[in-house]
Amino acid sequence: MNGGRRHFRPVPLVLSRIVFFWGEVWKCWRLTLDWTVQVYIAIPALFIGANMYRDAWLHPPSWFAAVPQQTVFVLLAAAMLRARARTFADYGDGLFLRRSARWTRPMIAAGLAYTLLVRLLTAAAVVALLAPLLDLRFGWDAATGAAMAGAAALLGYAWTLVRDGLERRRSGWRRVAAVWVARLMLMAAWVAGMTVIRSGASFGLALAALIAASCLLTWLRLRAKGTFLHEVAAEREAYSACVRFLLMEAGGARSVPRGRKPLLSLRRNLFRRRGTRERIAELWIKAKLRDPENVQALLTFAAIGSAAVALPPPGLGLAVWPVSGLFALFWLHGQWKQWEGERYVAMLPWPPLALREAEGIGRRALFLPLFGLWGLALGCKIGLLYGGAGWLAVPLAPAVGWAAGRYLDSVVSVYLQFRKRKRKAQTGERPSGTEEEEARENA
Amino acid sequence: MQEGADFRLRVRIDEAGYEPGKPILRDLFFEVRPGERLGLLGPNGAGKSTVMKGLLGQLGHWKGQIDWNGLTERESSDRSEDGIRRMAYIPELPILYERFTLWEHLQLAAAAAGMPEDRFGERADRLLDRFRLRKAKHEYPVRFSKGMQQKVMLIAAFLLEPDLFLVDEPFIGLDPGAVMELLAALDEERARGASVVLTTHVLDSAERLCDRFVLIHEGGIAASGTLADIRRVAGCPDGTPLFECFRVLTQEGAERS
Repeated sequence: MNGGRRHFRPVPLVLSRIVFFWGEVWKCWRLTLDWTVQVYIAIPALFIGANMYRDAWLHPPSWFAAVPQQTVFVLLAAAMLRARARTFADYGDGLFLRRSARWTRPMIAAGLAYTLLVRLLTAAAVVALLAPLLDLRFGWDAATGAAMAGAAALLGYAWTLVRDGLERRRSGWRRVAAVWVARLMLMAAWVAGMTVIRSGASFGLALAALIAASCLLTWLRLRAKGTFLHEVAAEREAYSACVRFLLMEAGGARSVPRGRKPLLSLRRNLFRRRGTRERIAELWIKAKLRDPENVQALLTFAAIGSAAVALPPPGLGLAVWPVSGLFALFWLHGQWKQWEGERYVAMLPWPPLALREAEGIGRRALFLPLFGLWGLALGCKIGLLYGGAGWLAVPLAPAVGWAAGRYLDSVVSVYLQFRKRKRKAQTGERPSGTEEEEARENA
Repeated sequence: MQEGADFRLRVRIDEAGYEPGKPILRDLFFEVRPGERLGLLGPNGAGKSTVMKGLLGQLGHWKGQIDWNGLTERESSDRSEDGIRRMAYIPELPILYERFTLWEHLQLAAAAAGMPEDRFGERADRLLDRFRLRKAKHEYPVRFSKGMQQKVMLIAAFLLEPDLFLVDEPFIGLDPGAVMELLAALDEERARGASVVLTTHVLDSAERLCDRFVLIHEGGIAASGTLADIRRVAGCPDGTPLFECFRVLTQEGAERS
């Protein structure tokens, strides 16, 4: 009974929420990190990584000499300027707890202390990972590394409070723009400041300034009113950020748009033909292009695919090109299926074949430019290697890619239909009216 | 089609539920006539929403028969797609997609119904005006208030011009003006010949709005018919409000069980 009473105080309550939060995140990660992943991927990766780290220290690679000190500052700042202020606010707190300043301030203070602690641990981890470079290239000792980690942590902490203030005061695209401008400004100021500061005394002054700024921002944050709903939203975002990567395909971590209107309005028609299937495909593409995670994934596909096609010798690049295309097509199919399963989409009475045909149109509209881009990368590689007539590959490869991409897409379509029918036959499920029509069509 | 069929929809549910072997509904039979408002009433957990899901072909377990204008659908869990396309469902809680604007929600519904774009534009604009949402047409409905979200559901349903409206708890979340608009819009659709099946707990409103009632209790029908029929079954004198009949019938059911 007494234990329960002790637990129901602001700081213990926040501590229990921190434990609960990480427990929930771990539960999600555990879904992926099963024993096969641990044995075949995680442990070998750790082993290889540890050996590479040891090798870098014992036999420093030649590229160490070309790394400027600013790279370290940029990496530290990049790790710090991703964070957000945590308060572990819960929607239910609005009922009673958040009506009393005796609860509100200690809870927020405990959350901010956690934020600072995590910044410290993250900065220390980054410094530890870069230790061979810092030691051998720049001659930093442990005290310099610790001081730099401390300064970076304070920068990260001050950033979380600046971000919190900006997000509370702005909405929609203005919020996104303000956060990015502030982030870039702080990054530039940090890199420039750390480059200029050389003597111990000026570093001490900079550290004192960061401490003073952090204290001031903390004081202002603790006095701020009407922050509860923002805190709840920030907590939801923080959880989503921790598990989004894992649940992306499952649709488990949903991110609600921040603004009232889409940043990318896309009101114009994307297809000239205006049949049912083109209209459906167009709406799918618009939805996908508005989802930042999807855009990020598409850009990653574009970058990694281009590198995979262009970096190896042309023969190997040519072989990698369709394989990368298959990956992209299956990923796009997964994205379509996820969208098709959305409750609003599933609720509508679809005419037979409409969704299947629309998927083909939508998938091709996103896939062909990507596949063509990889062809362009391969063409450039061939041009650079052979020169002269080799440059003809620059216009030819994307054109060939367009035709080859369409063929690849049709192969994937046939395979997906075959797989669907086979699965239904295995489960004994009766084909729907749509599938009966498809079967008739195929016959 | 049978000659002289005087009903829009005739439903016979032998057994239905979310999982095979676990029926929630048993031996239900009711008809909906063209232009009629039928109230599906019942206490919490009686099976009203399950009936609607069954009509929409969303139940895992379904044994029964549905006749549309006298034409029988096949008896199976796979409900006829054509039959489902004749219905529009307005759920109790709004169902929305995060990455669509209001206009795109309607565009998708129209595309699903095969409605030409010019007709869609004209009809959607009229409905947006009617429900006072024109200004918000390019905004995300997930950021709307609950009442506004419910209006999005109403507009999407009215857009499709179905033969039958399935309206789950229509009076929840809507302001009085919106309820009036909903009823007026439903009346216009009824004049066209569309029927309405609505579930509600607000019995006073149901008494005023519905032509006939089906009182569902514990997965079966406790009484059905006009208000006079319900009074007779409940053993209540003329003038007894539906609320009292409902209380008597559900209490009797509880005592029997």
